[in-house]
Amino acid sequence: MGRSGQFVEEVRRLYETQKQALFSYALSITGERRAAEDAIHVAFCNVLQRSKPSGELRPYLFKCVRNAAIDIRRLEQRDDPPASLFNGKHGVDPVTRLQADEALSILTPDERECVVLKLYSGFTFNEIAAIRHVSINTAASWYRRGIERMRAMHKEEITND
Amino acid sequence: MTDPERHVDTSNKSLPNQSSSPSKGDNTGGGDTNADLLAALVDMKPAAPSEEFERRMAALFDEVQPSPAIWRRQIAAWQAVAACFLCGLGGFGASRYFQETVLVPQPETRTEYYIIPPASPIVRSAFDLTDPAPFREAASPPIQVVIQTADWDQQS
Repeated sequence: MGRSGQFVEEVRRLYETQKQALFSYALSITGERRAAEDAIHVAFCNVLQRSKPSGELRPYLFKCVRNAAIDIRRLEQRDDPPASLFNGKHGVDPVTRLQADEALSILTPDERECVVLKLYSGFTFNEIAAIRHVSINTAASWYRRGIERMRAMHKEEITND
Repeated sequence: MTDPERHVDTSNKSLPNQSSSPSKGDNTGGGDTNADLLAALVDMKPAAPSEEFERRMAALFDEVQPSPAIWRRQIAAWQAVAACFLCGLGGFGASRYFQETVLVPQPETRTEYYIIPPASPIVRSAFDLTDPAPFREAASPPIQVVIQTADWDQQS
């Protein structure tokens, strides 16, 4: 165990500030709340058993959560529709919520991850590129294409209505 | 080369405001409703993890929190020996400092020895001697008393 009290405290603080973003990210990958929670738990267990990474901790944690979420998704192989990424309890219009979920669901996994990381975690493209091991241009393209597809889909819906 | 961060960020930030000024020739859409959807997407409260999960994570952090490093630090043997020596020395000094000297009066020791020589008939019978001459002087010897005291003991 290479952990120190200071490292554990740093991870704990980061978890407290980032848990919402981490959960959204994990949920966007697994599509299921329980699996997303498991992914975060597994990722933090792994992180806390290792020594402190050399780079920045926040993108590293997201990367670990992503890996754990992908593993869990592979293991579970569910056919259910993905769970909503948004909170349905506190005065959110169900139609808007459904539209938002629908808009995100048409994206490819890469685009969805990128949009979620950008919109709900506040990452820069540089950080997203580091998390995904791709170039910054690729990360930016995923985001741009995702936003464009959601716009196009919504425009189509409006036209049909 | 265009900076992707700046390029996309700008378009992203303009999303909620597009309702008031939709861009001309925007072939990807962009009108009041699109802006509404994307603004709503940005503003919507994401789903939160469950309380049970919060408890799991709290338990995880409590579990991995190491005990204070001072208890786990290895101590060199010479440090342990030096600490023992100093503690012993301190303890001895403290015991000497706080020890009350109790003066117990020593009882005066006085021992008396009575030297009683045997009578000549006993000597004769003991050694089976017939001639009493050598023991005549010892036949009626005086009784000697030797008194031994502590002072005498010390002097001797």
